[in-house]
Amino acid sequence: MTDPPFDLAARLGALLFVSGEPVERAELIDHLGCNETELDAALATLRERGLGLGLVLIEHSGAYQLATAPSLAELVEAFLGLDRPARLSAAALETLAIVAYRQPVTRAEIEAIRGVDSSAALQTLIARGLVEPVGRLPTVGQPIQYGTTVQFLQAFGLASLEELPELPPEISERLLDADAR
Amino acid sequence: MPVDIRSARLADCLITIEGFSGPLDLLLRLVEERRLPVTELSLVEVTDQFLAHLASLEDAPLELVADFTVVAARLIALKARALLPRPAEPEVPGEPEPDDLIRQLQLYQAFREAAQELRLRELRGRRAYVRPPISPPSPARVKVIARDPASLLTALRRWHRRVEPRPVTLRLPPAISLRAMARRLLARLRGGARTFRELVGRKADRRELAAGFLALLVLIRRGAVQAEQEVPFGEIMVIPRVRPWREAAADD
Repeated sequence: MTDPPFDLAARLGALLFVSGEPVERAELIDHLGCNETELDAALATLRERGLGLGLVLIEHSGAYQLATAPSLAELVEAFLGLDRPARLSAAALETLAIVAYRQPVTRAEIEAIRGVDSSAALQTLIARGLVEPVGRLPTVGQPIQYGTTVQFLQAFGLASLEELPELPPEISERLLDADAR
Repeated sequence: MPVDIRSARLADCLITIEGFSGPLDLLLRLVEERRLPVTELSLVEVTDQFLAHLASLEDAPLELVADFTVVAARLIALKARALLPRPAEPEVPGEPEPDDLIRQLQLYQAFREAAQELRLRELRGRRAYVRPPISPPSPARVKVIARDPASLLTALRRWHRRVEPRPVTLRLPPAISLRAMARRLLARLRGGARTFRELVGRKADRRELAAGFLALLVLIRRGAVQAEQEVPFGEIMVIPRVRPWREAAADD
């Protein structure tokens, strides 16, 4: 039996299938011997084909990973005998929302919005692997900036941060204003 | 807060100071309407003239004094406000300004709603699962598999030889029975009294010493020997009693 010729999307799929972790664009380009545009096209093709396998393509800060379709979660959990993780507290969820929309964001910035100390909520999110330090603000004290993880996308069944529900327009504008300042 | 002075009593109190001449209630009205600069008023003079007016009255009603107090307080407040430098903005450091506070609350409300969206997703449990990475087989593992299956048996035998327990010889000095020791002591006492040391032998080890001492105690109890010790821990002199030939005594 001879193998059918595999296109770029198929080869990309093989790499993402065996990799348990998100694979960086640069690494994919290196191993597949393609350019950025070709990779984007292959990713789009794979995204479509994945649905036929019950899989989605997750994108997190320029890295890609295959995961089961969020709507199949119940089936997968029953099959693997998984327990649902405990629900997040309201404080943790608010903090997570702020990190998700405002990332990278410092603890002080989170607390400015919430108006209360948020270190415990932040620690919970870090412990659950939903939030991680992503850098430091180049100001006095170099405060740590936080961002969401690929596990956050998995946990909430998001293919990428772009799938986050949109904020009301007046709020987005205000956030842009705040960024400009 | 304008003070409504409708008291006719104050209208009777005429005040004449620099820049003003008239009843006291008019003075207050003019000041409040900013037609008279309060900063240029001498409140001391106003007060002095009121007190003089008060003294001229035969029966000063309490209400008049009360009215004056209200007017004077008002004038002082107005003058103080005019004289004291005021900050450009009523600002408390650290506190967000009202406008900022509203904006912050709006922002916070927006994120509360966003958090609700996330909660819905959490509740729907639409989690995406990923597979663990596949670790490539190591070259060493490949080498083992390539071997002859018989080598497993060889390895097992080698292992067995290595872990097989070796026989261990346990060397214990012969134990001396109490009876034998008692006989030995009696035999050595045939020549007469001897020290305990001599009886057990100079080279006796702890076990022999212990057995010898026990045998001595037995012999003493049986009345076969007598023992004397001059000082604690000193030499024990063992003296055979009569009928030392009754060696069988220890055999009972």
